[in-house]
Amino acid sequence: MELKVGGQGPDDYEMDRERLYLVGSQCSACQAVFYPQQQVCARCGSREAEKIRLGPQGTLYTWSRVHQSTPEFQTPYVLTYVDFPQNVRVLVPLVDEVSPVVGMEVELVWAPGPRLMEDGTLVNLIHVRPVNR
Amino acid sequence: MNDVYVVGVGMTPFGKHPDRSAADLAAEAILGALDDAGLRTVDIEAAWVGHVYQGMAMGQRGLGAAGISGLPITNVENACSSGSTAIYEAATALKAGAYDIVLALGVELLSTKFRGALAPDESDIEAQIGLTMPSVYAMRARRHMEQYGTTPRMLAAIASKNKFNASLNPLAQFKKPVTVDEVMAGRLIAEPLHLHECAPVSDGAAAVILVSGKKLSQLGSSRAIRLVASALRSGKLEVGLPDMTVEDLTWRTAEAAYQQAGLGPDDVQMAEVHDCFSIAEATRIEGLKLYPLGEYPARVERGEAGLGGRLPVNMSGGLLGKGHPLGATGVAQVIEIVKQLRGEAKDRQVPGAKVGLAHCRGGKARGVEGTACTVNILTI
Ligand SMILES: [Zn+2]
Repeated sequence: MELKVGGQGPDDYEMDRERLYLVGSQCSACQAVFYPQQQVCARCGSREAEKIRLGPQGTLYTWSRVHQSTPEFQTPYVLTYVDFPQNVRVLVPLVDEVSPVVGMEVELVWAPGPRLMEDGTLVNLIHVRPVNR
Repeated sequence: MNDVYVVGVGMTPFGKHPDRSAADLAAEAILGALDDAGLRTVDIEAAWVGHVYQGMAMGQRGLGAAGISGLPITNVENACSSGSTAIYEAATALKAGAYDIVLALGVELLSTKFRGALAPDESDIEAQIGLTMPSVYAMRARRHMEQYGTTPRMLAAIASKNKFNASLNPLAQFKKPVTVDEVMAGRLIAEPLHLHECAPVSDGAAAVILVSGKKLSQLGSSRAIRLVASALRSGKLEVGLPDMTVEDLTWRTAEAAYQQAGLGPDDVQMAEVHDCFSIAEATRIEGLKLYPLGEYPARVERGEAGLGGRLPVNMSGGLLGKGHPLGATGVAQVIEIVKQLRGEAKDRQVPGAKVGLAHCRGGKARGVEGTACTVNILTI
């Protein structure tokens, strides 16, 4: 059974030549970028927007290893905010067994966790991993 | 516009009250505030009631338990700022001349509803991939450490200070002081934050009675404290790559309050701020411009924010020590300032305090820095 997770639907990402991108929106009037896609621009109120690819690489802005969470998650797991060159910051989990460092270059990748299905298996979610590892 | 004064305060002990109802807690706080003011239930002309998780018509149930009904009652939900938003709404009505004696109440019974980390609303996509409230603040702490050289021990010192202050407050949830080493030895909740650096799950209620200047001259209360500013703002949708250590929402709210009061950060002699996590006290204090950006945690380690320090912060114990029954928190902060300015804070009294500030902000919704923020400034 498919578990619906916001920001991870078919309109929210694209694969292109083995590389994973997030798909956000860019305001046609003021160029502000949003993820997930936003109909009305939060900066200028324009309702004209176009899709924009984010990634596949970005810079790790900050992180935390989460040890206590709600029962839908397998702890511990590492959350990060990643700054993409398209001028937008997105919350993305980091793949397991990597020591996070502020400023490290990361790339988008599918990986299991931290969210659990009802049967206890891990959901496949968009993560980041260090570049060139 | 009319002046606004606090003439009565009342609150329950904060802590775990699983055997009591929210209405029962509310009634205790309301009756305490009435007794403190020397007023009767029938004197209250209107009431605003802040809570987050108490369901429909909490205000009517709470006031009803105190024997008050029939008057205009407004229930207010604004995340952790629900109680302080009730004060803001009550003060706004008094300023406009709509009433002369009003009640602001905050109440929350959480211990029977929640365990563990509170998460943002489940419909929030960030919550769906694992964002919890502690992790939101943990990631801010990481940036504060990167940018200003803040250390985990400095953050632990904030928690230790507030737990000590709580040991001087008979209404606080935590009774025992906790050393910096004990904070550091605690379980990690979201790195770098340990258990003692996260506000507990709490129950409690707090109430204040506000009157117009005109009514005050009739009542002649000598213990009245003036509410010189009450400001409310909400978080702006974030665009681009903002600096996560800068509390724009706190500053915009404070700026409005300072302006109303005709005062500035240098005039503030003590503050109660929303320390839902140790790092939060730092970014609030810096957002209020009571210290330059990045400097506060090191100053706490040197003792500047404790009793007898340059600027005592969270003398009540704060959320970390006194407890955090969401809706009641913002009202209890104002109560602490009132007690301090009256000179009734006993063991934790800040000598000679004439100007105090209460800051409350809370919640997390996707794309905004914070949901709601209030700043109340009180003077003798
Ligand atoms: Zn725009």
